[in-house]
Amino acid sequence: MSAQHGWGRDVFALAFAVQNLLWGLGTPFAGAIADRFGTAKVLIAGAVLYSLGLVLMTYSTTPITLNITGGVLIGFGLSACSFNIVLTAFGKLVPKEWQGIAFGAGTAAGSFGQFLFAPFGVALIQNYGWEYALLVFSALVLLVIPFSLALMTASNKQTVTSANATPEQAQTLREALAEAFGHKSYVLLVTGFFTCGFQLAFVTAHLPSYLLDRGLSAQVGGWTLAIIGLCNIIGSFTAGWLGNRVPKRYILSAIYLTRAISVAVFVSIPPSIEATMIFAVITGLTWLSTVPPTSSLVAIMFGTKWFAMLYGFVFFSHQVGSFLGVYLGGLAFEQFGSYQLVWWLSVALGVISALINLPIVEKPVARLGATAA
Amino acid sequence: MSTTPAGTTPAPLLSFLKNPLVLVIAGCMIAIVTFGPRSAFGFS
Repeated sequence: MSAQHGWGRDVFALAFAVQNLLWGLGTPFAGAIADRFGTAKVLIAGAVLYSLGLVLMTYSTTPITLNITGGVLIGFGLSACSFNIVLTAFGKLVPKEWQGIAFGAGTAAGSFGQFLFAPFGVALIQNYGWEYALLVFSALVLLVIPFSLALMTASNKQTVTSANATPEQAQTLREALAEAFGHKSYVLLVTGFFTCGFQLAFVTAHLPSYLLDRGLSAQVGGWTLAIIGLCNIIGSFTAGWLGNRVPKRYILSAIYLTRAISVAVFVSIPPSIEATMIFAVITGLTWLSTVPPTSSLVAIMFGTKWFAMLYGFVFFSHQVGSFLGVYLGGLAFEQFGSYQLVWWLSVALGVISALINLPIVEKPVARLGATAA
Repeated sequence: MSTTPAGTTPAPLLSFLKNPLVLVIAGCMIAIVTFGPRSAFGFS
């Protein structure tokens, strides 16, 4: 697509940045709508937006139209139909004993999708062209619609007006926001998740270039990202499984500390393929494994009535971190000709997040405790 | 955190869809088809 239109890498990079930011910005709103009117409607609307964005990308002949289709439409579409909304539906629908596995599986599935679609997309583009590939993908995204029927949740309006509504179920959106942002553990969780986004986006965007700068081949960079993706499936699923057995704040703290140590060692030793592959395995295992314990903690603290919206704000923090991870990486390289400063910033953020997750109180807020009593 | 949302009773036809395994599989399929295409076009 870039070659046909004569675009530089910056054109797709900007559309990617717009998509990521709007994905984060739209998630709390999509979550609030899902909480208020039911999950399936939001998933369907998101799928239609996403699919429309993919179809209209075939007509995007200028950077501006690419930003609107690949950036705005797909970004908002993802807000409404990606794994964030799916996980919060799991929180509302599946039995408690299933939730750890469900959160882990839902997160791992997203990574598996990346692993599956990348070669599929390349094959489609090579054999039939990128326009055809986009149309095939737009059709596949619409599969969300039938699958969303299984994830239908009750709207809050139904819940509140039903005869058996409890005080917990009667909480308004405004009350939910005030409660969450006045809750120290939620603020710590939101803050810690910023680091996750920062580290992931920085590695995704800049690791291949960093490896080239250190004398390793482009193939090593490609393999590194592939190994990260593969190990992420294992890490996400394991984190979900562990969440039913180990306090989630300890899981999160261990993940952030492991990332910090692995980055510190990786950038301190001489470059080699072996060291890079070990780094890829550790990074992959801790990649999206933060998602199952983070989403579970939100549900534990505040219940599931406004779960999608409250997790949406946590995810927004992640996406702001993503944006800064990519941007500061590029800025540092332009200023200093090296990524070292941002690598060490990533280490520092990892240590800070490891520490600030420890004091999180892993129990329902007093309101829910009072309701249960 | 209930198995069925408060105030609703699944219709018999939909009870199959409320099986936890079916829910998880459906959710995973959504995650796969929404995450995949963006990565295939460089939005990874």
